[in-house]
Amino acid sequence: MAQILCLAAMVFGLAAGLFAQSAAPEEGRSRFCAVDIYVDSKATPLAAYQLEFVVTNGVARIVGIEGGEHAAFHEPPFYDPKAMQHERVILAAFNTGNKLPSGKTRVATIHLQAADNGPLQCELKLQAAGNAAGVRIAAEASFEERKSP
Amino acid sequence: MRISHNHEEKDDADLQAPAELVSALKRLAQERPFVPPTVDEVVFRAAQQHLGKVQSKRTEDGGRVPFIQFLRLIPRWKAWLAAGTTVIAIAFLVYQFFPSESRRTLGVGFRNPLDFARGGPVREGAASDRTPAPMQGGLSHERRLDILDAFILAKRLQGGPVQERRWDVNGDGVVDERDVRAIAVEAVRLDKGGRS
Repeated sequence: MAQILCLAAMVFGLAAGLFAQSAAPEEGRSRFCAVDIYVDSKATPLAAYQLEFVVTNGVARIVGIEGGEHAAFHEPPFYDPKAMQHERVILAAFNTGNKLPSGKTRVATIHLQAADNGPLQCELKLQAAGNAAGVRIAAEASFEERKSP
Repeated sequence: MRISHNHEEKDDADLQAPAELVSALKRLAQERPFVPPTVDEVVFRAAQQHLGKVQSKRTEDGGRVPFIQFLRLIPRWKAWLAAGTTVIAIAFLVYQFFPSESRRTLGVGFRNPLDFARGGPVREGAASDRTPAPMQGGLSHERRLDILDAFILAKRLQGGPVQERRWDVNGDGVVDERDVRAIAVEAVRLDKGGRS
């Protein structure tokens, strides 16, 4: 009997995590928004980048990731699927071709679901940027919330 | 209960063993009882037979010997030797399948190409020379893979097969695009979940 009770406690205890999810945004108050991620490599053609994006005020969660504007980074970047429905993600992409963007270019777009109409507070950290030879280069990363029309 | 009226209370200090008992006990320590060899042999064989029956896994009634009782019959040194051998074998298997550099990576068989046992100091320059970056004069064991490592491997694969085994991060014996992808996946892996 004690063994059955222990087994039941284990099963229900593990199952509790499935139900202990964060509350969904209230009906009618959540909104979807998009944040464009830019990398400015100045005059150097950008061949690879890796950056970390975090929503710091906890009002939004990542629901989608999109590629950039230039053909070299048009495909969605690499990211950890665990980032979905959370506030932090690491994006990375590279292109071994010859046609690479230089200057400021949009490399990705992150789609977020925000709980309310309050402002987003985010942090962006460029972890790596490389040129066509694979050498690290100095670059700047920035983000901009896309304004709805 | 009948109580003898002649019973006299005696002080504990005055209690003495009977003299005959005392002398007999003293003689016992000095005399060695004689046991005929035949009797000794019979007792020894009977003990062997009895212990042999217990050590076989079934008792006379056909039931099993309790495991705890069975364990007690194993010589202690054999038990310790078996336990030590088991621990050493497990440690050896763990070391072989889970090298230290793979603990933070994808899982079983994933090897960090930045294996400093085979690598050398970093030199700024061509991607083909990219090797682990030293930290403060020594080789770093903690530099994590990033997208540039994947990019460099992809570029090298464009020029032909890559023979360096340290780039075989998925351990399949071949350095190919799958290793490139494995490095990229590792580079973006979130440590301890995706929550900020």
